[in-house]
Amino acid sequence: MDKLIGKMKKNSLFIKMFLIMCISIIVVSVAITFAMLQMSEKQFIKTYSMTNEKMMDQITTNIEKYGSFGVSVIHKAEESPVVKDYLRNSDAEILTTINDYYGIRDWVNAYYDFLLPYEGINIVFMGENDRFYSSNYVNWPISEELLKTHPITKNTLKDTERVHIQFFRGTETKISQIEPTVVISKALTDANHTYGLIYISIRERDFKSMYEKYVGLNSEMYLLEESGKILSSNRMDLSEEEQNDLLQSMIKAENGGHTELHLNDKKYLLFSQRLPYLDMYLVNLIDVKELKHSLVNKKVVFMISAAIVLVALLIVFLISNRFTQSHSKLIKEIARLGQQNFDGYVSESKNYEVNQISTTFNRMLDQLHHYIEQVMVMEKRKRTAELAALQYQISPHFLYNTLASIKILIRQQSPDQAIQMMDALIHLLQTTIGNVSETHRIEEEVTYLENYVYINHLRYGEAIRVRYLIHPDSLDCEIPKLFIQPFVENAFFHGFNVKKSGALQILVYLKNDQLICEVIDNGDGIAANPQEKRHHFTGIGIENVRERIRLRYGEEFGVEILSTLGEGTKVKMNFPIIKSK
Amino acid sequence: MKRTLFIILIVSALFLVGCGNDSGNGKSKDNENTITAWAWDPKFNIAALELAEKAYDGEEEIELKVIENAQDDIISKLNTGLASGTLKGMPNIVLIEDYRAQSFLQSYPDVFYELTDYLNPEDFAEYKVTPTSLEGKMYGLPFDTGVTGLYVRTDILEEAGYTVEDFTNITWDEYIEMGKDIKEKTGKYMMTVDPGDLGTIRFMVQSAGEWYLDEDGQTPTLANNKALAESFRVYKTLITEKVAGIHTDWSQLLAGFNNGEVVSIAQGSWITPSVKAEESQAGLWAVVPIPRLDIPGGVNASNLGGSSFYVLNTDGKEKAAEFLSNTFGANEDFYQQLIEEVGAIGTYMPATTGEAYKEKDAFFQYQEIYADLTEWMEQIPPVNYGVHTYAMEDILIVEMQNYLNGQELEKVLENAQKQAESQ
Repeated sequence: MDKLIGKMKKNSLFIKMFLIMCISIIVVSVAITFAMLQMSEKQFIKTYSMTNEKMMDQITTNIEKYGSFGVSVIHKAEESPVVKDYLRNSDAEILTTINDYYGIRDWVNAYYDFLLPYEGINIVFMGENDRFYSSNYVNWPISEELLKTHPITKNTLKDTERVHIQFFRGTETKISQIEPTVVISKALTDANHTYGLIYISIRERDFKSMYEKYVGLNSEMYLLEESGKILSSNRMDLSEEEQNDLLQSMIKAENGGHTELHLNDKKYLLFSQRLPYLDMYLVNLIDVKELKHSLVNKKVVFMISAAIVLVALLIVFLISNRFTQSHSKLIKEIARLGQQNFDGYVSESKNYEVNQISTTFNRMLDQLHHYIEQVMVMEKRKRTAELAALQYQISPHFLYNTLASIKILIRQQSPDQAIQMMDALIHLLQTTIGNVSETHRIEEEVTYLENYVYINHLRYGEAIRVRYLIHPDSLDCEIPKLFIQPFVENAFFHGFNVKKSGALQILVYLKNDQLICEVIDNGDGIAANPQEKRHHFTGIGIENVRERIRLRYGEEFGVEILSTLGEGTKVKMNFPIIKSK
Repeated sequence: MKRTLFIILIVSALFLVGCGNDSGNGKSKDNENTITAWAWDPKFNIAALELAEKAYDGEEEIELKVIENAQDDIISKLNTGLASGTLKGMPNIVLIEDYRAQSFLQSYPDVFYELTDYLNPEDFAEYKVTPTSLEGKMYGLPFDTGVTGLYVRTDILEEAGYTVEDFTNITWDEYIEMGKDIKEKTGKYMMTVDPGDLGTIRFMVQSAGEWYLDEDGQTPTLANNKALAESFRVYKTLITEKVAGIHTDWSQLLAGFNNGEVVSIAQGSWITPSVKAEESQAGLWAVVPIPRLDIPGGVNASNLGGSSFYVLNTDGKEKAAEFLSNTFGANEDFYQQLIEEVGAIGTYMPATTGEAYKEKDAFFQYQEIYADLTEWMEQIPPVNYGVHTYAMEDILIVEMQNYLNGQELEKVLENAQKQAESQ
């Protein structure tokens, strides 16, 4: 997890860039998809409505054509004496009956051809004399018995002037199965006397074929009787309540116009048209949801959009990854360089901007290295100068005193002692001035110290005794020149201000692969106060010595001072073991 | 870099194309084992086909799809389809009435698939083989028999002092004589006829081994046709003596005997289920041979209606032929089921010895009606119906009208002959 977050931080530019691209691509494509869908839906419904109205016109034409055939057959029948004879004459003579039968048969056959374009038609006559004629029994196998009491007949007789169009619900009788049928009927009258009825029936499925082929998949077509009862439909399973709803909204809708209707929680577009010829209504319901669905398969559109978005994202991912790769590589390298003291360069990149940055950075690194080198050289020179200054620090005071002492010795007639003192002084000066190298062997340092102590003993007496404990193994080890002397000098001049006498030990030995030099006195000692300590060692510059040792040999080497008031002081220096060649 | 981009573009393009192609695979393939059939009458012909589908036990799976159409619709659809020279939208199997079969076979000889190899013509009633064959080759698989019978109400006969035996193997004149007496006594018509449909004339003529046409199936023989003349005479006598009433459609025919207003029915055996439909009359009916024409060659057996299955020369014709051959052409048990479940009597002779044929029907006073009808079926005189049955009848109906209205019999038949010849 932390690793992941770390990784993300490293690539944050890429992630930010990619996220922004992601969001914008998705937002844009979703917005475009929705806008497009909305627009095309609206446009589609508009065009659909227009074509639908044309379709309604076409259906109206078809049905009215059929209606006019029917009505004209009815008119012809009303005028026909043959029909009247068949329906009015009573069964006095069987031959009359047969002749009447032949008459109506011929008459119907003549007009039957007229209706031939339509399938499933039957022309039925029923007379007051109980005569019945069914011209194509198979298409509407109705019996006189059934028809006589049927509501269709009753309704027709209620209004004898009008042509009725009604729906005959399909039934099963003992002898036949009667399909749902659409029946045009009229009473045949002569001077207010009804002598018979004519029925022109067409099977509902054949009637349906007049409009079905125009009706789209998501469209429901209803033909309603004037009363609102369904005559024919490509969907016959509407409940009565739904039929009422349908009728209500149909009445609301303008003739030939369209309105919206909610039925069964579904939204429909309702187109309606009145067919005055047959007193019926043509109603077309279009399921808006299904219509939209059939316009575009939203699923596919969304799938395609999603696919495009995915591909775009993939491309964006790869490209931005490529663009930011050099960037994050640069950052990684810089971080690495930081850990390695800027030792090295960042690699060059093909990306122009990043390349500029990295070359500039490299140039900057170069200059930085250059400056640091310069500073180092300067610093080194400064140190050497300081060291030289320290090394040359045989104070004129010491020289004056020593020379004065020599003069006194000569005056006291002790030439040997004077010569010895002068030899010691010469040796001191030789060590200090003569040898240019920075280091010398312990042996030489010890000789130097012996000469120095000798001079001091001659001048001030031997109240402070000096002992040398030098391990033979360390004799040929190299140490920086005159590093021990200042501490010995310090002990002579400051360590015994109170006690006046005591001992001084100089130890040199090897321990733990280190060269240890110790200057131990049992003089006054100093308090643990660092302020005072510094004061005590003013002439030497303890810090200076420590710094120089560290600079020269590294962190683990240096100088250490332990002191207790009244008990003495111990100065301990450690150096690496460097054998003289 | 450029190559990567290019690959990405190609891949995405392919992906999108792939998306677009998805919709192309939804097309459903019509099952090759589906055979379609056109037939009319759901209670009879279609029920028989559906029964056959169950009985089928051939090697290949077959799914039968029966499309119901009125007979007239089938005729007009066949005529339009075949005349246009295309078999597109046509079924594999079609049911055609025997009277019309020759007209189709002769007009469209290449359209029908020869069934000679699929069945044995000798297995079928001889009178059915003639209309279903052309030039010695079988094209139709004979289905139901239209063997005629005289269905009589025994109770009414008894009431008027007659027995069933009195009506067995009689002539039409004897029938009319007794009928007049019964009419007088009970007020009931002996039978009803439809003046607009000469079915009665048709079976009368065939009962004497004659037809409207010569044996060649082409030449009209309306004049000088003793059987036709005798039939006309009997028909007119039936009406004028008030022995026969009239009906103008199927429902009136059925209403007549179902309501007990008619004493007898002379029809094809397919009327049996309709008679039995009126359960209150169970035990009151008997079936006897129809009366014969009183002329040389006249027998007490004839045929009315009946149809056969034909296979069209479309894809799947072998399967359709195999289906018919496996069921209607060979399966004796299937014919037993046909009688038991549909009440249809086939014309496949080996099946007639089966159990169902010997059934004693309680409705008909335990008479073995199927056995009897089958026996009469074998006596039906075979005739060549030829190609113009209904055209002849259109002429004859008009002439019958003239005859009923008093014109001379000879003259009306000569007129009819003239009209037929001029057609």
